Amino acid sequence: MSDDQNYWKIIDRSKKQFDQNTNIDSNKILKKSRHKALTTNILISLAILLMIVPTLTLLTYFYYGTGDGNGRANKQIEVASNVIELTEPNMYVKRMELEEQIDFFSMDLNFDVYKRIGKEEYRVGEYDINYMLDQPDFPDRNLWLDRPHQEIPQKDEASYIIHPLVSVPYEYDREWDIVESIPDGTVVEAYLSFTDSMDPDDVKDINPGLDPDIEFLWLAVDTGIEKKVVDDQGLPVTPIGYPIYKDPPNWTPFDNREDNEVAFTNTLNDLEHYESQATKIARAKTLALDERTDYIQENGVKIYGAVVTGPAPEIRKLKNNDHVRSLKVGEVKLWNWH
Amino acid sequence: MELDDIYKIYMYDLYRYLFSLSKNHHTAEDLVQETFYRAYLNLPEQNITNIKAWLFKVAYHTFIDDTRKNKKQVPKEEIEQLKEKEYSAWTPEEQVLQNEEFQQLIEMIHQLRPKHQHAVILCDLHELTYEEAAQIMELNINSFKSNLYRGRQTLMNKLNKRRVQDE
Amino acid sequence: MELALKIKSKFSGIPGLVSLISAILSLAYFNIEYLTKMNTSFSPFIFFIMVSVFSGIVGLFSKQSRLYASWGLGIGIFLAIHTVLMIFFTLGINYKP
Repeated sequence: MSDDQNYWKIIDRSKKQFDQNTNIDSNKILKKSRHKALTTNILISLAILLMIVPTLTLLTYFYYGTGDGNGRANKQIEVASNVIELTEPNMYVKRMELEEQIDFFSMDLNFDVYKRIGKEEYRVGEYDINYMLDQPDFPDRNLWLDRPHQEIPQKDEASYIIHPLVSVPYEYDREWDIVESIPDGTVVEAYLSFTDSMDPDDVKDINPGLDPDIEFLWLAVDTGIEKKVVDDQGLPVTPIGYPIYKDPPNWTPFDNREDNEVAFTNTLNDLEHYESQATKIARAKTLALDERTDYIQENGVKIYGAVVTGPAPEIRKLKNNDHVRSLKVGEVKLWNWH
Repeated sequence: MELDDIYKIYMYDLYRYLFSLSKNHHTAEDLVQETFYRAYLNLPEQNITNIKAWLFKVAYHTFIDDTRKNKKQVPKEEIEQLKEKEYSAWTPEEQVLQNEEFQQLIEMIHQLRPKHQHAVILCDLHELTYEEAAQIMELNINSFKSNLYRGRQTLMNKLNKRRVQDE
Repeated sequence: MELALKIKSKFSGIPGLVSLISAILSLAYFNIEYLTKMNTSFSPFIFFIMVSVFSGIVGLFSKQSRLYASWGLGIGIFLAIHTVLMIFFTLGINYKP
């Protein structure tokens, strides 16, 4: 027998012997392995499935918590609050009370809006804005006003503050009748249109010696397109301006630390970067921020109207004021002028 | 044919293979189970054309992982002690009753250089093709062949020597 | 000795399994929190996250179930980072002094 044959013979024989003596339960081993593999698969699939929600949540918070300087969510809160201060005369948000709810890649802002009428502030409505990432839907607005502005401004209807170069519609005479008829024991919010545009510092001069006894709450800024009534695309424009606070709410840009007109210019320039969001939140279909910021940069801040508040008898005195061209009555409340 | 039936066909081969590598019945049995566990886990992910070669590959990796873990966990002396004990626990009668010849063969193979050992175990003891075995050992076909021939040659010489002694 | 080793190998899978199970429990908790929008408080499950991390580390060095241990450890670390980041972001978004 050759070496080779012997080699194979030994291997073959020992293998057979080994297999004969091997006693393993193949069914049991397979069953056990299969079970173990199944358990592993179930546990790991479960873990992977359960990781989806936390991962999406974290990504969402990462999205809203970063970017845009202070985080995208904070930026959108700031934009919404600033848009309301700039485009809704005498209306503001208290950011301390604003609530946000973040869901997967979406955010829901909820806040109340306030007006100052006389010496007191009144809660006049609530806003609900849904965001998909950083794009808001049209806000769900719920205002409790006696004399609300149009929900959507129309081209052929006059604005509540009228530019000196635009004619005052005849029905505005009736507003003076309203002022005459309001009982003395009330405080009134009134929208004034001036005969001329003026510097912000000169606004107080139309009220020499604090007579009549009124307070300025909001100033309408001439941004060049008010006299045209519509913007480039023929969409109606609404007044834009800034508030004057005696007791500013938290985080407003108009906190009297710098000139309100400077704060206004800065805020408007900043809003220009978020114009699509701002336009959604504003009542107007267009804010034409590009045109407006350019105009302000060239011509400075000029005031052509204001929102004032005061007791009814004091408001009546404005009829004889040379600077006041027309007036529209806003909200009326019981006496609080202490 | 069901997958389980295919697995059953190779069960003995795998057991013998793992015993050849580990020289220990318990380890071989544990590792067979671990091998099939891994096979069940990984099966859906790959398209296997050659189940036998693939199972051997899985078994080999299982063995490697196991030795690595054991080295980490148990100090060397302990392993040596354990091995001695295991052998002494086997009475000669048992050895005869069990598989004396295979046992001796394995002992002889384990005296070869590691690469030669593995090549002989894969190719001559378990009838894998050169390509399959080379793949498992992660060698190119030529160096695998040279490992195999040298291992085989040494083993043959040893067997002959023993035969001469026996005679 | 052999018996001891066998017992050891039988129980060495436990840390890994404990790690994975507690990781899955923590994950389930976070899912419930986020899907029901309950007021998220992380503190009760910091314990479970820690369990999954520590037993995951132990399990990594044991003989069996390194797969479970590495998954448990991975998820544990993920959740720990997750928790820290979430606290950081929730405090930062719409913060009120």
